[in-house]
Amino acid sequence: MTKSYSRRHVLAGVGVGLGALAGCLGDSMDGESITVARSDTSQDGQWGVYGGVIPYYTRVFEPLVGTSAEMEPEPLLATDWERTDETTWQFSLREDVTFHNGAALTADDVVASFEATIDHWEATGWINVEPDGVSALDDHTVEFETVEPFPTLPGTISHNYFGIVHSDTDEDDDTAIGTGPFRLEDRSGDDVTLVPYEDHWDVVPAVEELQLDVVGDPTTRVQALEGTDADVALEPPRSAVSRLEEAEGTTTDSQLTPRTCFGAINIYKEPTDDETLRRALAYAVDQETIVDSVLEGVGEPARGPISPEIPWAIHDELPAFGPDLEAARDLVDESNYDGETLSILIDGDEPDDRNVAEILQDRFDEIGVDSEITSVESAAFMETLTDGEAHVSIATLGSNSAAADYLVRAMFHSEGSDNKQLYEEEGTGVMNLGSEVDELIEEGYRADGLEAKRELYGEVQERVVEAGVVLPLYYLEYVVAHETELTGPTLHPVSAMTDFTELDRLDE
Amino acid sequence: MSVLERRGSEGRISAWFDHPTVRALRRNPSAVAGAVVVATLALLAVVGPILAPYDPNAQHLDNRLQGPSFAHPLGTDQLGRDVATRLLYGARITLGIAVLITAVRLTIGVAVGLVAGYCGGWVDETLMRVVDVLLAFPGIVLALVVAGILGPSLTNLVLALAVVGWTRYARIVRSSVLELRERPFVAASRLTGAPRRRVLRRHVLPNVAGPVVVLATLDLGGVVLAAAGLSFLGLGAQPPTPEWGTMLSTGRHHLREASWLVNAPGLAIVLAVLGTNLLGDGLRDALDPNDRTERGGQTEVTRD
Repeated sequence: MTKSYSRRHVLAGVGVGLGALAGCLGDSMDGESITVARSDTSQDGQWGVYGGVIPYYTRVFEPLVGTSAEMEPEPLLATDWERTDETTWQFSLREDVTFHNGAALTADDVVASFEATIDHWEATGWINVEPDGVSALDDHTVEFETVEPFPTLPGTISHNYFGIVHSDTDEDDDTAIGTGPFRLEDRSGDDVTLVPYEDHWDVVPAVEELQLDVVGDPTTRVQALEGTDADVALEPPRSAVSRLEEAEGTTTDSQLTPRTCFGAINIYKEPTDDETLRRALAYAVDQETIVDSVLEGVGEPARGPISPEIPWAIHDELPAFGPDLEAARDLVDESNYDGETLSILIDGDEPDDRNVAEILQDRFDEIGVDSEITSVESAAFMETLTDGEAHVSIATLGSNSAAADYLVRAMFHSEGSDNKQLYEEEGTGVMNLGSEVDELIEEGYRADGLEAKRELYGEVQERVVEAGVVLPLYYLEYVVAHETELTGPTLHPVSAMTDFTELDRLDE
Repeated sequence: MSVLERRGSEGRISAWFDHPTVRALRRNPSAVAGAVVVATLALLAVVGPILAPYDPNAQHLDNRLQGPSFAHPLGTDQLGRDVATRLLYGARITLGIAVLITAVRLTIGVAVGLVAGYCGGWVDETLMRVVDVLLAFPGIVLALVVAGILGPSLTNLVLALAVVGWTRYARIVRSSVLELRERPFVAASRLTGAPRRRVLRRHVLPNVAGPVVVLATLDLGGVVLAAAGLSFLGLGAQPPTPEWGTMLSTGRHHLREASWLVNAPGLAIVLAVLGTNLLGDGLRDALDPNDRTERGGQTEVTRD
């Protein structure tokens, strides 16, 4: 019997065959939707200026300046920038950038965007620019007039908050128009569905759809990953990391961040105004034990207050005090300590800080220093610290942009945010060693070039560690858990800059 | 002579067991179960720390999150501390503050209720409007606000829960006093010229004791729950104090890996609340004269 095939059958067969071949050889992410479970942030619900889209992780919006993996400013929507006088900066824009609505990016869009975001975040004090301090010189040149000399402007505006937003963006209409590689497809509260922006000037994501859902509880995020609700879980509980790593279907990636957890010691309050006692406390701390136990090994023992991810940190050159309980006890004996009870202040919403405080309390007890733990709610923590009420405050500080100068200023300058109140009221402060360190910080702030900055800020780090102004505890690491067959969540020192444009699925 | 005065003269244990209220309680199996649970927890709170083999705050970081074993029947926590030991010490703290809070509530509420009910007039009006205002707010929310303002500590926790919980005692006592003050034996005492304080202390107070005791017993469970809840939120005991709510709060971060950190204090709280509620229900039935012959009673006690 002869079987006959029509031309249509043959063509259909060839088509199916080619399609199957293309499926095997081509991009396996085609048709793929990836769900990322993220933690909530204290600003959730306040993203109106971005059309309700969180500017973290999503890359719907792009700033003029990017933050490199080395935590330095790099060109993004601006190709270059220059400081034309003490308070004036000019940024040249890329000319091949379009918004998601097809409109070309112009200097006027940048001006409108900055006016909106500065106003929304009341950010003048942060970036030193009034809303009307941004102006368009021509179609592709923007000028910033700062209220005072501000050498770190480019790095500061690399923060996600300063992504360029088109003026047609409207939260009520679920319209969020940026220039980034992802554009908004759908939004439900803080959960967003993103799709690739095909006309992006640089990169088109491989994934067909990226769903970013808020799952506040870390354990639930992991359960979503282990089930079918999520493909990627940001910041799983540390206690789950090794399990996720060992499991067949899941794996984890981690990245050191520019954030440090440390004990901020009040050097103006008795008895921690005694440097010998402060050094004793520093000798008592066992950073490795804290990292191994509280952090389940996810983190790095700290020697200084500045994470090595920040380019001018001098972690390797700082002394490691201990742990040396004998030396600590000797120093306590030498000090003026007379049995007072030290107060250890913690943010009650941070479970790690509670465990760290309990370990510190135990270590202090071993060297004969009595202490008690005071837990306050997050909103009251900084106020209690700057009021100088505690002897040791467990704090975490870091940078979310390529400008980290404010860290050293906030902590150790007499006019810094941690010290200003008491310095102005009583001539004291909390962690400020005095005029010499103030001058070093001011010189470092004005310094051009990384080497000069490193030398000056390095000197500050050395002095505060030597004088026991801080108890360095650990540098934070963050973890992204995902399905084993996924690659490409590209981690960045700033966790909010984790990039999903390279997300891909391994060929089986 | 009041009923309770006669009761007070009967001091012997056997007579106590034969007391109608105790007899009624003994006939109620759930009340007996509640009493046994409450007595056991109270006993553990008293002698537990003596029996506990470890220091509740001694850290063994190389022995963290170990499951239940012979050496650690309830496992170890995130800092390597023995959970059973901390639970026993926690019983003293959790139940201790619950009893203290209930006692403060009872004292304030009974005093206000007695004064309002007996004095009447503008004193009654003023005090009852204050009670109305306090009752208008959900108790736990008001306690959260008070504890939030005062700052986290066990003392402030006691204050926060005591301040908001006395109103129901005041209401019940006032209504009992309004009824009692018209009774012949109270009127007779007043007519003989007995001072107001004596009338209240000798004739009125003993007769409102029944409903107050029932309310206090039922309230105790609610207070355990509320105190543990506020501590869970970080507004009560400060680390490293082994309070049950705090243990539950820190344990939840290790729910998957070390469920015993949550199960142990959770179960203890459930038992304490269940025990006091069963006992309270039994007491309510036993103290209700109508209920000794038939189910259901007149004394209606509200709970949290």
